[in-house]
Amino acid sequence: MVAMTRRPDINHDAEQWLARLFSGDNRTNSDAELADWKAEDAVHTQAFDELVAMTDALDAVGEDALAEEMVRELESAAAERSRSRWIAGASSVAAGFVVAAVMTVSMWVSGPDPVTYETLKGQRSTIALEDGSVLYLNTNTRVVAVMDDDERQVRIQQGEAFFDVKRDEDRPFLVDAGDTRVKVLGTKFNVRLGASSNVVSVLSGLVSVSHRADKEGEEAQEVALLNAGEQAWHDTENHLALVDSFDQNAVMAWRTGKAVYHEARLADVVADLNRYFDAPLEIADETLSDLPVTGTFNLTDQDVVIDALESAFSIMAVKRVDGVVLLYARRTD
Amino acid sequence: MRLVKNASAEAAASDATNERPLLDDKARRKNIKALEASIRTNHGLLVGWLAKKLGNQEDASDVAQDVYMRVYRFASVEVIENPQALLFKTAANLAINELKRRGRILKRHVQVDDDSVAGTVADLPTEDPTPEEALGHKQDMGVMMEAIRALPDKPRAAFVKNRFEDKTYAVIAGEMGVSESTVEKYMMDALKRLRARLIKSPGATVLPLPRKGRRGRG
Repeated sequence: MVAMTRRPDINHDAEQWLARLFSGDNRTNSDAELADWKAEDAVHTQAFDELVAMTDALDAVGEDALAEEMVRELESAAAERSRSRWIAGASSVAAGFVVAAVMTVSMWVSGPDPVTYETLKGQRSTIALEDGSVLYLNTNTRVVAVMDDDERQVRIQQGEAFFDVKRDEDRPFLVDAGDTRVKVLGTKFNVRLGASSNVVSVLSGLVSVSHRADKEGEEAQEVALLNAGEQAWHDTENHLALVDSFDQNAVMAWRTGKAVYHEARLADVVADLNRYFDAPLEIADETLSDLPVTGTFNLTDQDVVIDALESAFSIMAVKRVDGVVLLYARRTD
Repeated sequence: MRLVKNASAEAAASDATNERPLLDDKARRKNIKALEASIRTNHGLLVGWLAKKLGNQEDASDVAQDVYMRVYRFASVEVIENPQALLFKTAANLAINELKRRGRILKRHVQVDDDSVAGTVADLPTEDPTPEEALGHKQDMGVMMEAIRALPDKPRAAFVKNRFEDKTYAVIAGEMGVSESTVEKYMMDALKRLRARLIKSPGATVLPLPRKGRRGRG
């Protein structure tokens, strides 16, 4: 008898019997009932056996079919997660695991290692990067550079640096100083990491200054786009940026071992000079703090600087036992 | 940390002995970046899924690490278009390996030898397959896979979980959130559709049954 001309209800019954058999629980009754049904008619037996043979044969693709089904499970879970991304509960639990996994995984990346360059107090340094850019480090500065395939990044951990960036369309050059991010293609500019503000001064080219994003993957917010001759004071805590022109001589003077001040407050001058020398200067007379200072200081020797301050600005310098140099207003006797 | 570095050195060494050309550094690093992003996104989901399949967190973490190691080796070999798909596929394969190792799934399967297809004893050809038969075998496998893929989602899930993950209807009912009788109906539906595709005419199925001495022919 041919399956095609078999009464459809026989196929249906066979399917039902086999489905019952697959349930996985022990139904000893149904074994006997099945045997009875099969015995009723040879066609029953044939329909049933065919089905059994078919499912047995399907075992051959069992592993592949199971793998595909598992991938479907994962994909639908991923789709579900996308839909409910805003539910914080689940993701916070997973966070601990994610950190561990990523740390282990990153160790296998044999990409470029970060390189640290630093200068001591009073020291300057010129560094040629592998892309052809040149880094000039000022006193007491530490930077970390990573030259990756799709971007070049330098992080200023401390101090001040001048950048002469080689143009590379495929690789933007990024400088991070605290929460200030500077992005350029190729240009000359100075970046100084400060206590309250970071200062970016552009000599040539176009520079984008932004506030670094808190989370990875998020866009940094641009706070200033600087042309040559422009300078931005980026107060990252208050999210303010002040853009102005600047005295190139003053900003770049450190490159030749000098400090240039024009009507700068003594308090600010002292803070700046202290970057270069081990023995800190301290203003002992409050009245001196706002004293305007104009002039060029040679930064090679602290004693020379102190002499200059004393002679030009009615200041008396007294060295304390612990090495601190106190600045007093000189009284005209 | 040192252990990990050795592992990558081993992987590099084994890659070097293979004939396949490796990707250049730039392509490899691009692969790895894509993989890292996908791992970060999917790690929680993968570990959770593995824990369900393997029964505990520790095993899940271990297998997850194995998954990552495996996909990292792949990063040196080929451009990875879809890192998530690669991760999921690898996770499924490693989960299956582990469950097979524990004797929890695919228990009916008999490993005969490396050349022939794993199948039931009834399916063993009575002599070594000729090249034509071997090709026919492969095509039959393809037809069977297609038949399963063509099933509607729920009947297919019930069929695969029962026949290949060795789950009872009670367990499947719990997972799918339906009654046991519904699972039985899904199974009936699956059998009906599979029969329609695979058993075309009397005795002459498209399945790799031994061609000698078949009942029902003629």
